[in-house]
This record gives sequence, structure tokens and C-alpha cells, in this order.
Amino acid sequence: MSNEISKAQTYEILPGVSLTVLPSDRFKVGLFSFAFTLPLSPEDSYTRSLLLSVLRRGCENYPTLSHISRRLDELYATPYHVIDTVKGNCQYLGFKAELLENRYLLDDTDLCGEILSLMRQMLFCPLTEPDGLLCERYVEAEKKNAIDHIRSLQNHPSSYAMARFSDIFYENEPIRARLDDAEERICAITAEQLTATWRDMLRHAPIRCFYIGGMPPSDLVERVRSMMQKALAYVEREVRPIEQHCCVSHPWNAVRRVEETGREGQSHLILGFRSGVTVESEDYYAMTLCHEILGLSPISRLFVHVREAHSLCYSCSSVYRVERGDVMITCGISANNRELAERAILDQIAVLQKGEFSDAEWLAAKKSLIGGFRQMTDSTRSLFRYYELRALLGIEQTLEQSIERFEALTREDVIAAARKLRLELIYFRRGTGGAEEMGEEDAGDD
Amino acid sequence: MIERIKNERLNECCETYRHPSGLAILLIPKKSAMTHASLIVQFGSRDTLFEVNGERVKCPDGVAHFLEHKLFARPDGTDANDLFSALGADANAWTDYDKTAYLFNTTEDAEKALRTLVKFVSEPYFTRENVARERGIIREEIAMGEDDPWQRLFEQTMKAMYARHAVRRKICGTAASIQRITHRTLQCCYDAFYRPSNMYLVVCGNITMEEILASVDEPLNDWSQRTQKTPAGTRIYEVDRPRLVHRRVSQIGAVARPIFQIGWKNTDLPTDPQERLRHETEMDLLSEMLFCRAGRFYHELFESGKLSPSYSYGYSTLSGQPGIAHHVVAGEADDPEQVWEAYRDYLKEVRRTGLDREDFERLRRVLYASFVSEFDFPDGIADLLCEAHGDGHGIFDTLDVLQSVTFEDICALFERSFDLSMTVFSTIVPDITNNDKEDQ
Repeated sequence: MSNEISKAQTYEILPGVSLTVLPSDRFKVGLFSFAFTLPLSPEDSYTRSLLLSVLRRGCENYPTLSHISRRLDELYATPYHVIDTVKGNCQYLGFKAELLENRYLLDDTDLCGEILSLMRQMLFCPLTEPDGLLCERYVEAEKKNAIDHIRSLQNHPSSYAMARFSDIFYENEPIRARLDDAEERICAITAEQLTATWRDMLRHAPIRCFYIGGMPPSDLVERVRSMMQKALAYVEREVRPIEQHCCVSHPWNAVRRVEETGREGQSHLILGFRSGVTVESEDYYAMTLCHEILGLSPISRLFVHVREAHSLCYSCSSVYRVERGDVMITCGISANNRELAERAILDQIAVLQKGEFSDAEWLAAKKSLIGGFRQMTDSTRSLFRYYELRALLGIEQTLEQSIERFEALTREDVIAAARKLRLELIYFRRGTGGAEEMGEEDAGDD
Repeated sequence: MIERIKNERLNECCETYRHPSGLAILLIPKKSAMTHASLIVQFGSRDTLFEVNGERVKCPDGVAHFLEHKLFARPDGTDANDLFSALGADANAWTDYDKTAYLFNTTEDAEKALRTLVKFVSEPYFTRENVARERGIIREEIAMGEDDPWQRLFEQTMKAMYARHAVRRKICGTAASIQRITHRTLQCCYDAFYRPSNMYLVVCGNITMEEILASVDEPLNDWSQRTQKTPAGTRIYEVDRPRLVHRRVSQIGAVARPIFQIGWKNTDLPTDPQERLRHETEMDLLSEMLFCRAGRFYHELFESGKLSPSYSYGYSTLSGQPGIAHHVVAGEADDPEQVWEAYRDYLKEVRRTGLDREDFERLRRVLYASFVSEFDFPDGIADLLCEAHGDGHGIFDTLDVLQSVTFEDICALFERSFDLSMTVFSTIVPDITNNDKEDQ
């Protein structure tokens, strides 16, 4: 076993079907994904998500979820997940499986072959009615599950606050989830529409596969080709190519403030910034380091100067959406600390933009960032996230090359990136109270 | 002497060494980019009652967690995170019922980071001012938990199962209990339990035991000498009542749909570590056989729309004198009463018809695969090692037990498990009077 990770290579399996392989025999569990690429379409987003849920319910040889689960158990409990993600201008729909490597199997099960077969059946041979429509019972059941899931978002106050924030922040963007009329839209979906969406996807959508693991690439290429040839017995493909790219959010010209009231105790404050700097941009590396200093490193500005210095919150975090160039900062606070928290967060942005951070601080953040990228080689999931995005966008940049770019960054690069952050939205979700102020501690201590 | 155990099937090796200070050091060497280390102290949220020098000490709830937060403070006003960051390491900590862990991940200078870890944990700095400042942060952490209906549901279930055990109380404590924690409280707990002989170090990554020892030997010896001046604490275990507190509990909460837990309390937990490992492995297998998503219980409820995909099940134990153990099935349902009725009927039916041998073989493979999969991630491996050592067995022992368990063993276990008279039905249901008011 070499313990190395080789370079990613992309193979054209068939017209409109590509496979990117990152060979590595250092892991006990490999990863394979199969996803259709669709242009982002707000009108179709719920239909497409519902489609994946319905396909997951059953297929010709495994007609119920119980049959599928049992089969996956037999295949060494292979974790099997739905892919339903938006990256840039595209939505990706499919499945992802994590396969135990052959050398750890207790018998001679052809695990890869069996999982590919199951994926093919679930995507190309789902359970249908005699008239060819997708199983009506599954369609209705998954509509209910989807609606229940949306309602249950409120059980997770911080997630719900972020969902509400995103709906407002992306008000005029195709990516907007539109929670307000989601239930109505889901209810209106019919089996006919779903079936049409499915057939359209099979026929026209480019297919992107990805694999990390120990199987020789040539072997895997043949297996995926064989899988697709069996699948093509069910559909005539006419691929519509899509040029995939990041989508920079349209800027607003003024800072919006939105306040809502929730039933939870703790309040949530979320600040949204647009920068225009995506993973395709030249200054992506500088923005990533800027974000590390702001909110990710163990001694980030948010941790030290918002949480620790003011004791305002337990959780104060930030996320950089690299396909859109947006940065969101979120924290759970008591309602009476709202102004203080907002001011403290904005002060940290100002510090970055004015360059008033210490050398120790930004160098520590650089170490943390580079360490985080190096650690990706220890995890198939991290490697998948890194290389899959770049493969989809046509960015040829290995982990090592990214690390070199980070190492070359200067203080001025970080300041220039910070100056691109534009505050666009301040969202405050007021809770009913949160933890009580208890006054001074008991007397007798000095 | 360094003991080495190799597992051929996993192609992994575990090394163990007992330092003269009493600290156990466990290492899984791995050619990974990351090295992970966790320093575990056997002091957790349940340890609020103990004895020092013959005197009984009672501390407020949340003291172990508060101490974990405060240990990062340094005399110069900075934070121990600064020390790790300068090395490129990412530090963190967590508190559980029976232990607290201080850990880091790093891709460089692992030896320096190890030395920093031992030194910062061995050099506490508690003051009135820094304790007061931390209360605000912990209050918000408590508030975050109180907004989590699943956490509230779990607490409700535990309170119905256990009359006294600490598992019925929040690890963080409450806003009222942390108000009573002072810097003296923290120092008292620290002196009683934070000593190398009550701790162990787990490491996974690209490092040797010799390199670890070279880094930590000196600070451990210094620490060990200092602890000789302070008496150790002896924890006092609260003995719980064997019977349940309540069999049905419910509350109204801010949930969109009802959520439920069905919890079976097991009062027959072996104390010997190897017997306990066997018992836990058998229970995990039995749990899968009865409640997995491929099984009849979930299938019938899910396909009829009575149970949502948000479903979980599992068996948990906590060592002690005596230990505790329970199995919980949890989920969301429009009508949890239907699920509760189905649960009772299902268990009766299985007792009548018996367990399935094919299920046993299939699910034994599931547990095997799940265990092997954990060995790809250095921090995941360290967690496994931490749990195994804390429970008193070797990290690879689970595989041996899995291989030796028989279908007849599981059938015998089922005969004496899932007693409905020791089962709690716990729910949180929506406030229907407020449901018409839309969030603004």
C-alpha cells in the first residue's frame, strides 16, 4: 500500500458522461458519486428534490425502502446518500456511496459492481405504475415528508434563522428556496410532472461521476461504461451540454435590516456580505485567508473579540460560500445584546479592512488554513468536496497547488480582499428571552 | 515498557505505555497528515459529589463543563488557543457525564503541541473576574440547548428513567447552578481530579511513542510532583432507584410536529469490562435486528406514513457503581401514540415468533463494516480509543467479540431485555393554541 494520493484524472466514458478519479489506496473506505447536472431553475427546484426522494424509495428489483436498506446492509452497510446540491449555476441530482475497500471484505463480494448496479436501477428503473408514471404512492408519501421536513426546520432555531435569512438575502436569485410558498408548490406537484422531469433528466442532463479509492482507474472506467450501457437500454440520450460556472450574487445598493420574531428563547443575529470573489476568482485565496482570520481560525476575530471579549454568545461563526462570493456571520445571543453584538461584528470587518490586525494573528490564521487543507488528504469526504467542485467548474488546481497559493499570500492581499466585503443584510430573529441574567454571584467569594 | 498490539485484519497497531506519573498513553500510529491528541480527565458532569480528606464536597451542576471552559485562561489574559495557533494546531475541548477531554489536531509540530497540551491543562488559572466573564458565554450555550427540542426531549426521558443519576441533569448546568460556581469551586474540583494518575492521553497520527514521551515526560513529572501536595478526590456515586420515575411524560413545546422517545431502562449491566463489552456488542446487534430501517418495525410504520425519515435508535451505557444503561427509539410522528402501540405489539409479536438468524448474520456484517470504517479518520480513531480505554478494554476487542457472538446469545439476551414495565414513553407535542399565529 503506497499511502499516496495520485493526481485526479477525468475520463470521458460516453458522450455526456464523465468520470473523475482520484486514485488512492490509503483509505479503508472509498467514495463513488453519480450525479446529473441540471441548469438551476427556481420553478423546478422542489420538483427535482422530490424526484430524488421518490427514486430513493424503490426500484424494480428492490421495490421498497426496506428492500433497499436490506440490500445495503448486505453490501457491508454501505452508506448511501442523496445528492441534491446547488453549485454555481447548476443543480446536481444523484447518489453517493461510501464503499469498504476489497481488502477489508469478509468474502468475495463485488461491492463496487453491486453498488453501481443498485445506483443504475434506482436512477433508471424506479418503481412505476402500469402507465409508466412514477409510483403514485411514493410521490404522495414523499410530498408529505418534504412538507413535514420544511415545517420541522423550526425545530432547529439556528438552522431556521439561516433559512429565513437566505430567503431574504437571495430574494432575487434563482437559488432562493422560497420557504413562504414551499408547501403550496410541493402540494401542486403531480406524478406526471415528476415523471416528465425524471425522463427529461435521463435524456438530456450531463452526468458527472467521481471516485476516490483503491480501484484501478481503468477497471472503474470499464465498470461505469458497462453500467451506462445497461442504463441506455432504457433511455435514448440527447445531451444538452451546460457550461458550469459560479454565480456571483447581484449586489443591493443599500444595507437592508429585517427583524422577525420566533418562538425560541435565544435570538439570532445574521449579517450577510457580498464580495464578488468566488473560487474562480484570482483573489479567492486572499478572501479565504481573510475569512479564516475573521471567523474560522481558533483565534479568529469573532471568537476572541465577539464571544470571549464581550461574553455575548457561545456560538459565533461564519461561512464563506465560495461559489457565490458571499460571507455570512451568525450568532446566538440574548435580545438585549443585539446592538452590542452587531457593533462588535462590524468592528472586526473594519479591523480587517483597515489592516489593524497583528502579524501574529494573520500568520496563525495562515497556518490554520494551510493545516486545514493538508488535513483534507486524511478524509475521502474532504477530498471529494475539494476536487468535485473544481472538476465541475473546470478548475485544475491540486491541493498542493492551492497550499502554495496560500503560502504566497501577503498581508496586503488580505486587506484588499477584506475591502471587497459589502454589508447587504442584517437579519435579526428575536427570541422570547433566552437564558436569564442572574445578577452578581453569591457573596463570600473574593 | 511499551505494549504493542497489532490487528492484522485492520492493519492497525495500538501501543500503550504507563508513564511513571500514572498517566496512560495510547497511540495508534498512522501515516496521516493530521495528528490528533486528546488528554482525558476522568471527571465529568456527574461528579458533583465527592470526598476529599474525609470531607464531603457538593458542587453545583455544570462545574466540570465550566472548568473545561476556564482551563484555557492564562495569567497574562490570553487564551491557550493562542499557544496552539502559533504552532498551527487547532485546539478544542468537550465534557461528558464521566470525562472531560482537551484535544488538538495539527499537521505540524505535533510534539510541541503535545507538550503545550499537557502544560496548559496542568497550569490552571481561575480568578473571580475570568469566572464571571465565562458565565455569559455558558449562559448562551445553555440557551442554545434549551431551544433544541431534541435535547429537551432527551432530558425529559432521562428524568423519567432516573430519579437521581446525573444523566437527568444538563452537562452545562443551568443558568441558576452556574451562578453558584466560583473560582474556588473550580480550584477544588481541579485539585481533586486533575492529576495524571486520573487521566489518559490518546494520540493518533504520524508520531512515535518515543517522540510523545520526549515531549510530555518533563511536564508530566512536574505535574505529578505538584499533585502530591493536594489530596485526590474520591467520587461518591449516587445510587439510583431501579424502577422508573414515570412511565409516560409529555410536554408542550415549540415543535412543528410531535417528537417522541421510547426508552427502555436496563438495570442488569455487567461490571467486568470484558463482560460489559460483550453485553454492549450483543445489545447493539439486538438493537439493529429489532429496529434497523430494513426491519419490520420501521418498514411498516414508515410505509404507512406513521413515522417520518427522522428516526433513530441506539443503546447507551455509562460505567459507574453501578453503571446505567438504556435503549432509546426516537423519531417524529403525527401521532406518537400509534408508534408506541406499534412498539408494544411488535415486541410481543417478536417474542412469539422469535428472531431471524439471517438478520443476525446480515447485521453482524453491518457492525463489522461500521467499526472498520471508523479507522480512516485520526480523530475518529482517537474517539474509539478514548471510549475503549475508559471502558477498560482494548480498542480491537470489539472485532473479536463480534466474531464470537452467536445467534443463540442474542436470543437469550432478548429474553431478558425490552421489558415494557421498564419502558418510558416520552413526547413533546406542538402548542396547538399558538399554531395559527405566524412567525413575523
